Amino acid sequence: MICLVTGSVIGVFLAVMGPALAGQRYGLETVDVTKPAFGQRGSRLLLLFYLINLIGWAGLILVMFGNGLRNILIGFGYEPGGWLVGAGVLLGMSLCFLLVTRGIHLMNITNAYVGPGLLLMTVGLLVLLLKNHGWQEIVDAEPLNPFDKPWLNYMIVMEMSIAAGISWWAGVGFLSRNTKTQRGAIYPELIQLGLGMGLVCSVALFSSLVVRSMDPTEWLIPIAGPFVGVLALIFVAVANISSSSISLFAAGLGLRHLRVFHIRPWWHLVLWALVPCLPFVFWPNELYGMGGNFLAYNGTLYAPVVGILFADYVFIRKQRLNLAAIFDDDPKAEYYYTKGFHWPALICLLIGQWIYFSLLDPLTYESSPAFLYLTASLPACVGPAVIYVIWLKLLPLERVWVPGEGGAEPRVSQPNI
Amino acid sequence: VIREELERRIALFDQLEDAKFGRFGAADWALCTAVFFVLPILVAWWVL
Repeated sequence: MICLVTGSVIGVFLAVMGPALAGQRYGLETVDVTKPAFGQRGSRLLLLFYLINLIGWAGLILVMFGNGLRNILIGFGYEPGGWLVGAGVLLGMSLCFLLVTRGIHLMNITNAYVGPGLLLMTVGLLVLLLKNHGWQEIVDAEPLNPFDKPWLNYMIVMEMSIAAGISWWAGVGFLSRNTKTQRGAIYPELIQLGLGMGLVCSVALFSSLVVRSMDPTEWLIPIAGPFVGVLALIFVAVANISSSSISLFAAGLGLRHLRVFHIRPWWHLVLWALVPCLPFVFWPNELYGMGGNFLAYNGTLYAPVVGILFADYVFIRKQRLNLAAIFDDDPKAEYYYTKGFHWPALICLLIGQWIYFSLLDPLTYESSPAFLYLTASLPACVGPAVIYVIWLKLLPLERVWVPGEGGAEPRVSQPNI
Repeated sequence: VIREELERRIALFDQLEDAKFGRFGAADWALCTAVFFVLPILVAWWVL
């Protein structure tokens, strides 16, 4: 539990501080926030990984939706086949499409009930767990699928929690640009996404230890009983659609950055964002089983990205961006750099990935001795950030826009929106 | 048209002062770094 909570808080801190402040101050999407550090074309490289993150999360959550539907029917006494999970994913995709194409307002209304509802449900689940099973049974429960070395287990949990926290990076711009103040962007994200996620995951850990299953939709009926359990499963199913919709909404906005989608209607973008989710219809459980590797992938890639973004916005730009240059594809624009790429950032990204892989293999979980003390995501985030700052201090940027200087109106020669 | 509209909006945005977006000052940075980064590391080291 300590690893879950502390890892989650650390991961969210790293992901949020730079991008959320920039996103809120300048009203920018996550992908736009990456342009000052990585360059116009460099940010499009990151866009690909950004979309994989959002669509991957949406797919995994939709499989939970499908599993939830199956368990609801089991709760009513039916014995549906495994095909129902895939059909549930397809149904979930259709519901997400309807929700997302109707705009942010409807999603705001849905989330106003889903967020507090999930919190109440988690508290209720914890109370039932403690009442029916007791703390001692939870503490004495054997781990579900442990490694041989106990210390390695702790550090893998810590690593996965940091990676899960960091993986919020893709949604940070979307969340923070809809807030009114910088504090309103930072504190709720740190508390809810970091501390809240860690605590909710801890309740999930207790439930899985008691029920002996890693599938969240299998816990509710055994713990809460058939009636309340089915009601809770229905609520979780609604929450899953709401969460997937947010991911798909952000993915649709991300697709807008590609020239081919510039003038397409919104529903086209949403449809294209849903296409990569189709494999989850045909192989739901196989892909769901790779969730741990997906988390590790998030750590591998996003740890260096969030480190570099933090270093660039806070230490290099001093929290000041040239808004006009973010939307300008002119080779003379400030954030175009060398043919659209800012090589120091991209090289630091590769260094970060090298650091990660030298500490932990995200597929087999084979680790180096240093991993047992440092984790992999933390050094892969901090290392490239430090190198990036030193690099740009030794070889400063040729042009840095200073607000108020020059006095001219902002010029955008080649708009990229 | 897109360029003119974009430039108009950016000009408006650039004129807004930081206070419009709420302050996130040195005290906020110190608090967030201490509570959400340093403290979790210390707790994890102490407990584990």
